Amino acid sequence: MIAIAIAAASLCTQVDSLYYSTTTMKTIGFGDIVPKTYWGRVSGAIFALIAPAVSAIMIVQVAIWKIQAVQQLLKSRAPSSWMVKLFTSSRNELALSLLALYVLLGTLLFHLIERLDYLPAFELMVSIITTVGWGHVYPTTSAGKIVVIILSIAANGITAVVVETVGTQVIDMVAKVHPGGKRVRKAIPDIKAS
Amino acid sequence: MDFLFYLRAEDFVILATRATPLVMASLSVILSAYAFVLLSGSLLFMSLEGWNVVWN
Repeated sequence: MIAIAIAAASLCTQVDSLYYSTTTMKTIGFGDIVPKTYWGRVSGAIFALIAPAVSAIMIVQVAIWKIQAVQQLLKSRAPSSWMVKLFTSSRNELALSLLALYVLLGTLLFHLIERLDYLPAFELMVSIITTVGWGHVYPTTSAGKIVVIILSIAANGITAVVVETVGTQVIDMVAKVHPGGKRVRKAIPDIKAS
Repeated sequence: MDFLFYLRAEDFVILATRATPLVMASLSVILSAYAFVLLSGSLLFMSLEGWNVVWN
């Protein structure tokens, strides 16, 4: 026997609808709000098959844009400037600092808006950025749901920066030991000051 | 975060506009597609599930 757990949510608002769509699109899936009607569930399943692909393409496109935009920015600076050093030799630190600041900001926001303790607020933020969506902590107020919507969409940009930075390093490592890696590496433009 | 104080206004213009037209166009298309899918999904669930109570 298959048990289907459907939350007994009473009155859902437009914010709930946008929140459900956003968390589905990001594959977070807290499970606190789910469609109850037959066609709602069918649409939810189809949406979950299609929408995350759009999200994934957006992350890749933001990463490509970021590489080009930073290249152009560095061209406008002297090669010895601090910004060139930051974006070239300290790329990992920059990406990880951005990620840490983002998680910290989200944790504080959930602590203030949802009145969560720091640990659940941190867990909620981690479940958003990693798209794990455990479901034991989720926003209950409309304001909290709006924060989740904004942070989930912004997480695409953060993910793009981190994936581009860390991914390039991994490909660099692979390129040193595998000929296939060298071909892939040649296809990726370097971020260098010229 | 000290480096933020050294950023010039034109740096943001460079970041926002200097990528190649193809990349900028692709980014615009995918951002629009993202917004379209998100909003149309929301409207769909609003109508199918009656998730349209005015929030407060």
